[in-house]
Amino acid sequence: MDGLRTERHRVQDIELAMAALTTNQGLADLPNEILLLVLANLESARDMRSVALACRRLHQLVRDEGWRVFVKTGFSSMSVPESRKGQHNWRQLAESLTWQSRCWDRRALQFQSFVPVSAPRQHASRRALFQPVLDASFDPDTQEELVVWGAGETVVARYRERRAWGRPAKIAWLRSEGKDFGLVAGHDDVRAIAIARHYGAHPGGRAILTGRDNGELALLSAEPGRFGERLAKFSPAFSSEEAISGTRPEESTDQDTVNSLDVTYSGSGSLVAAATRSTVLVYKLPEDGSTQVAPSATYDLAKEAFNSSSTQLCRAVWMGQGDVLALALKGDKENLRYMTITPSGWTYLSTAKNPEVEKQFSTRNSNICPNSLQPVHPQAWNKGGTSLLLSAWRDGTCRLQDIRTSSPFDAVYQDNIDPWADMEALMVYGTERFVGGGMNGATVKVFDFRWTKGYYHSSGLPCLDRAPFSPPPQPFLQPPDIGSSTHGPGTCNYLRGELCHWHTLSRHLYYRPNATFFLSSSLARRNGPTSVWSLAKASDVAPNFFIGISGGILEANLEPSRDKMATMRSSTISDPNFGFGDWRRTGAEQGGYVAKPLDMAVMETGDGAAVWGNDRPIRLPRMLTPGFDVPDIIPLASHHRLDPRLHLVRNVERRLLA
Amino acid sequence: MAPTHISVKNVDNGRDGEVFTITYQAAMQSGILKDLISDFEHASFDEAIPLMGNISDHTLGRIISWLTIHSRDVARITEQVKEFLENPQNRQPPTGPGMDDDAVNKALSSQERTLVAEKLKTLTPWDVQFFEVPTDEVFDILLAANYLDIQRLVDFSSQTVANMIKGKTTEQIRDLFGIVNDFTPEEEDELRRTEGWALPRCDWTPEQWQ
Repeated sequence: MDGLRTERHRVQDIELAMAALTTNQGLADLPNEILLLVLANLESARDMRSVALACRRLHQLVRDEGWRVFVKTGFSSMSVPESRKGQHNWRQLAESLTWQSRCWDRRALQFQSFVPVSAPRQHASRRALFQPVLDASFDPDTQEELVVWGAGETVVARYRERRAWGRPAKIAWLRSEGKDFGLVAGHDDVRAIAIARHYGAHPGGRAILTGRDNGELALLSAEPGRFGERLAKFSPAFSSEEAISGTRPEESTDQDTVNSLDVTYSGSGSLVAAATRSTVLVYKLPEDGSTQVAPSATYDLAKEAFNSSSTQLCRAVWMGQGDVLALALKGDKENLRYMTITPSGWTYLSTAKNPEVEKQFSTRNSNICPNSLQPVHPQAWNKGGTSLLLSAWRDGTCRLQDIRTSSPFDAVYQDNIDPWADMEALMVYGTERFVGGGMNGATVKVFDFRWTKGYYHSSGLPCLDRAPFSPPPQPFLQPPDIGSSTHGPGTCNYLRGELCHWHTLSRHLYYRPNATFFLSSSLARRNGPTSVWSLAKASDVAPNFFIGISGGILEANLEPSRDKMATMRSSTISDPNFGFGDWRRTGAEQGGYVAKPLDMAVMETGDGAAVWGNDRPIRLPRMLTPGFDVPDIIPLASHHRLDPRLHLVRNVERRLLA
Repeated sequence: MAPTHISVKNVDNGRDGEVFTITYQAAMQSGILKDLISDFEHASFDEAIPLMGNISDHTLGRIISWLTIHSRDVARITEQVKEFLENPQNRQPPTGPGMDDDAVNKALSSQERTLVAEKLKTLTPWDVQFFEVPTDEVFDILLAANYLDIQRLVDFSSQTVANMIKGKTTEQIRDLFGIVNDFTPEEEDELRRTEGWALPRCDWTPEQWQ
């Protein structure tokens, strides 16, 4: 039977091939480089799939080159973790990035908390709960995620390894107790932490850089057997003659309190920028196993640059591969400056000012949130550095600015509903979105950069003749011209460049408002208010991220709720290539932390453009609180702007759809 | 001295074809014509420059008409954008008094470049009509534009082909472009399954996809 069927197919194939020969040129006959130009203009993975399934040649091309082109055009600003085992699988990246884009846009996020088992110890200082500093990384070759944080004087790490589908992740918690090293709470707290990648003999080696209140800057082992063991110490003391001759005891003359650490990877190795009260120190990570490292460059701002003795340096962040550093300052009339390397050494400079922006949101009358500085890379593969910087200010604004020259990229963002809430920490995903959190409880806000996106998840869905629903809360932004009509063209005419009503409007900022996630409600009440102190993710393609709150850590995961289709296609509840299907945990973990799922409430807050003097009374948008399950599927649920678990007040939405 | 008009003699597969005349400005949009013109600079332009691209007279005629229509686009669009930016409200970020001229100009020229580049990439209604031809003719134009090194026309024609693909099923794509399915049924089933992730997770399927 089978043989017969194949035979018949072969005959048909020959007939079709002869028919094709008589026509002139077919799509599949175009040279590769031309076909790739065509594929670069496709907007959805569904269209790519349709092409790939047409014939062998097109399938091969899409597999070998097409998905790479798709990722590079659709997600040009997203940086992906480097793999040493050769090429990334671009098909998997396309799969994950499109899946994640839909989750982000539909606010499909879930959270859990990790708080210490024992009641948090009172600190020697006034602070009752530790303020964690965080970093995370993911190694695609070993499929191992590492997240580290400083909990007071102690360093905690969690390794988690993805394994074959359906098998639970392998988890290992590691702790380096401060008291084992004679460290004292408060005085020896970890103030800055960073994972050093590419460290040591084996290529995937990772180590942990810690900067402490007491001025100690050290590289600690991240290996399970010797976790927390000091591999190297970084200090200006090692550059003096005494240190070389070995007469000076190792422990003296450290730098001041290390306020920040930032690592950049350049051709010549890894460079660490450390900021103390008044000095920027640049260290090269040792590759030869040396245990005492002197700075390769020291810039004493108090001596060379500061005008006033009250000025302090809070943070130094690399803007490129070791030649530009953005600086956050305190007690200066300009709180944001930068340093750049010139033939005569480091030069200290003012950032470019845009007078019109200054007039409305003066940086002179406001203080910067020093931990918030985030470089923004519009093109992920351009490793040469960037001059775009995102920073948060105490007046509640987040500013994207070109530090060298005022540019069309300059923008000021603000929560439209709660305009004065400042962000202590920011985290940037390419030029797609940024996440922020601050002194307003365990709350994270997701902002859109308001740039034209390379990919819209709505492109993959069928056309619809109605406007996106439910209606978005937008206190300031006016709907697009055609946006006020509820119905419009029901199908896209791609050749004419005319999209259907739903596809047109789904791309518009008006229908993609920012959102705030409130997570405090199910966190145990403890002494003192909760704040967000730090944010970290392993990479731009990580489907999860970490939030350092007072006295604990939260983990956020992209996770759409189960809908009707979930039963038909498996593995769509967590990211198929980077996600951990079993990320939810409960109860005590080995690391001395208790894991607990968190309830959340979501509020959509508007377009996020700062409005000067936002004093207008605004109707508070509805608070969306998901239930445990989604028992009721509304019609057109897949076209809803939000994840099914946020399809609330179903009757109201039904009425709107009727 | 650059001539005002250029004549090009088409040579298709060794046979002399039609002679086309276009303005110098229009011809300069093609990298190949530009090179040919500079090669012939010392000769008189009375004689037609032979173009040996194995392009059919019909296709070359269409490309010449496209070049003629679009010959002044850069100047025209730049002017439009400049006019648009004269209104300070259209500037991003807004510029105003107090900003020194140098900074204003820098910010403006950068925004101007972005806007012009965006507009140059967008098909006009004329272009949409230009491409309302059988698919193999679109491919001919795409290949010829690629040979003649006319970046914008390459871009427009690949956009057009992509637009033909968008929203279609594999069967519709095979029909439209005359592609022969050379998978065995087993292979095709397997591929449909492994590439299933790329299908939208939708609670309903439009008729054309069924």
